[in-house]
Amino acid sequence: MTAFRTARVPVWPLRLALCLSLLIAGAGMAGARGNEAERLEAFRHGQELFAKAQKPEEFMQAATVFESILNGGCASGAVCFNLGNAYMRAGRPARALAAYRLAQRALPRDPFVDANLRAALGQLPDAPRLSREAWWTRILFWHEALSQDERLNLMAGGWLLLFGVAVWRMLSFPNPGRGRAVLGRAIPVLVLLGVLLTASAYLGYRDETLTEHGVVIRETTGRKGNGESYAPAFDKPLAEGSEFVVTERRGDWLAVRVGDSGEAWIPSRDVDEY
Amino acid sequence: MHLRTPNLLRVCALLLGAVASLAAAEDRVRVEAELETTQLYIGESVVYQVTVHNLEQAPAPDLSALSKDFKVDTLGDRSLNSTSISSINGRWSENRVFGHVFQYRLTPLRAGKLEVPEPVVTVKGTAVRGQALALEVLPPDKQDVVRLEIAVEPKHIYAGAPFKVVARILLKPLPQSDRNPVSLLRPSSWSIPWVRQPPDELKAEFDLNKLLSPLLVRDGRGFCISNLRLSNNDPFSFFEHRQEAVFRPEARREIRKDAGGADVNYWVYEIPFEFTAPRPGPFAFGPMTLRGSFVTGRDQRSFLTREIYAVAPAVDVNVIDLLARPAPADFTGAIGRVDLSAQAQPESLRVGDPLTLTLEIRNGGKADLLKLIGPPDLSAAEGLERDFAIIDARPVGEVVDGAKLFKYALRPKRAGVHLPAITLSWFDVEKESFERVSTKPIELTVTESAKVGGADVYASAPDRKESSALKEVEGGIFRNMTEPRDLGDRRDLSAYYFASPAVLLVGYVALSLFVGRRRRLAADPALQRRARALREARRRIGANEGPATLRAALLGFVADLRNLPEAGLMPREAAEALKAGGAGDEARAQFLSLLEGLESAAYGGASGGDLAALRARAVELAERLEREVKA
Repeated sequence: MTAFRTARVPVWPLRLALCLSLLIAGAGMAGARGNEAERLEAFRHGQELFAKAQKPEEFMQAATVFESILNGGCASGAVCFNLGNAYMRAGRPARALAAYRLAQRALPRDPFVDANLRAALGQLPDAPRLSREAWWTRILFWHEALSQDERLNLMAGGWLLLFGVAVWRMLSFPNPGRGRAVLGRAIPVLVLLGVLLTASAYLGYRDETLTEHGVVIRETTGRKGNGESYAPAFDKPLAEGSEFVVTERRGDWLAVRVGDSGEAWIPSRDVDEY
Repeated sequence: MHLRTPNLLRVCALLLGAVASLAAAEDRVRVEAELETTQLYIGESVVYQVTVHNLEQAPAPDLSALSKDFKVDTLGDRSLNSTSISSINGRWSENRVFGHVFQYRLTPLRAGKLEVPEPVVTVKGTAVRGQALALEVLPPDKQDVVRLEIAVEPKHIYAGAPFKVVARILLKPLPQSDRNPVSLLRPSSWSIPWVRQPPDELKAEFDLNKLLSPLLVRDGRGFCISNLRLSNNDPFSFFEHRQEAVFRPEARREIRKDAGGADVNYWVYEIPFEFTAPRPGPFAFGPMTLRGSFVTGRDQRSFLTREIYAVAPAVDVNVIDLLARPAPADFTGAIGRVDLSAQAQPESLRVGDPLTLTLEIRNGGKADLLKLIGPPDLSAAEGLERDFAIIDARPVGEVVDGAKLFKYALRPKRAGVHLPAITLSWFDVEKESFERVSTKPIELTVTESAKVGGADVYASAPDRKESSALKEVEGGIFRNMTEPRDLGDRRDLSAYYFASPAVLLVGYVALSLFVGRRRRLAADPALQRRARALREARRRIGANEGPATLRAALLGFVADLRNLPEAGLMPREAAEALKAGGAGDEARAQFLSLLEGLESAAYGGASGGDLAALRARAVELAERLEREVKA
């Protein structure tokens, strides 16, 4: 009779998957490197202009360079922060506010961004603000302290941990025993963690990617319809620095929700969207 | 509720019909143009409406042909699309209406009988035209009873500085009477376009309620301004259709020449509006119009009136860029009547101790102008840079209670120093010249400190890692991020991330299936034997042994395949096992024939060449049986 050995699980599929992932990531990085040099050059140029600037219009030149980097598809917190600084020094606090809000998304724990954001808000005391407190932030307490990249990484990490524990349990503890029981109890906890982390990542995605925000950069009248002929929607104009969420877009007009004040239509030329 | 099959078929047919009718409807696209009125005076506007029928998503009409004779403003658009499905006595019918209305305000640029050219809508590359319309634009009456003027003050207007636009009506005095002519007349309609919306980006510096409320009269003797109406809460609410508000500005007298060249003491009514231009460039005000009945003569018993339409042509205001003028070095954007004061806190300190110098700039409370002011350059103050280390030479100012405050952090370098006068240039809009203003010097009591030297002072730039210190800095910290590594690009990979749990789940399921199969195999000796049967058979057949070993290897192969004891397995039993396993007759016959051949060779002797051929046949047969016999 032929003798047989205990079957072992081969590791080559895992190795293959790892190699493929590295190859794909490497190809992506090589493609991204092409634009990086141009961005870096523009970034340095903007820095030079900012450092030499004395007058508002010179700071505006620096702002234009930083804007061009962002318009090129680079969503860097540092560029947004520098752009906000340029606008602040140019005496455009509303535009700076929009830039700092963007910077804060990427750098939520940076004290510089926080300080300058508060400075910009301080220069726009009469403008209505968006309510940023939601009931779920009490459950997802870490949400505001993390950037969207970090939330996504944490979500993926949570699920990866769950996957790792489940695989570990499957491979190392095939028979009932203490180890299998302990890991079995950990799995529901990890599933709950994964769901919460996914909820945080999705809410961040909804707020930052699916929802368009904006700031009024010059005082404008909110109207009841998308045209100058419509009656004003509020009893006074929207002050510079008013923050809003875009709910609809028709041509050059935006339907916006302004804090707790309600909804109105405003011309897009008077706002900065982010 | 479920639809019965016949109804379902009808609904499907209806939907198909709807798609077909949509395609057919687009073939009958029709463009219709309408004017609110066919006659108006120059300076007035008319609403022009273009309706595109039978098109679900209509593009805006091309009105470029109108620009020759009209100023075109878009008022908005709305869809007329509607669908209704009804079933009467089991008969389904559907009604779909497509259309889109575009509204514009046309302001004629010249008088005469004008033609509003046909609007053009391009549908799938084909131009669909509406009809051209006629519009008669009447010139204003030639008269000297009513004069209308738009006056702009001052003569030169600078970006950021306020200026006045005065809307003015001059009325000829009543014949042989010194009464205010307005007191006899019904309200006339005074159209001031900038009351509702300042031109372009201009910022209105007036509160309409505060400006016009004192002019409001209840006796109906005055002017209705731009259709402003009274409401309960807001006297000038635009959106309540209530009684039209009547205003009567304070009258004054002014001598002007009439049409005959004679001096006439006109009655003048005017309303000043203040604006600020945020940028240089031309801005147009007007045209302004007035329409109403005015006294033109008198008979023995009463005054004679007639309907008059007057127009003040549009006035172009050219806003100049103040910064384009050559300015003193210490001019940082202060405009208006500027006052400058300074405060130091504390006034008694030691060398190296921090000192906050607050510069307060006031310009009459024009908040918008205050925003433009940059921080004065302290290094220009005589001796200040010599005696003090300036930690932040360009602080961000803040506007507090109508003043712009700049807070500088200084440290005295030596004992006995004082803060010198700080000078600032500002632009006087009225005089159109730069003026200078200075603070008073501030006496300080600075004593020696043994520990802190001047060189130490410069090392106190904020460190990014000291987050607790940073929070206390007011007005923002403008130290840009300069490291190239900060320039990380955040590409949106959300979709991949959100897919990762599903990928991991699929991976886990696949892995568990794989592991489960391997475990089943490991736990089942029969499967283990079968999995290794062919390899083991090849090994034994390949061993350079005699026919008997070859025969045993073949029987052992069958035993492994069918999980039978190898010892004592006879060819017939092996053949039966193969048959039970699904092997074909031909393969079994070959198997038995090969075993017999090997047995004969074992007893009768066989050459080396024969044995090699038998081994090759044995391997071939084993492979065939492995394929045919089911697990």
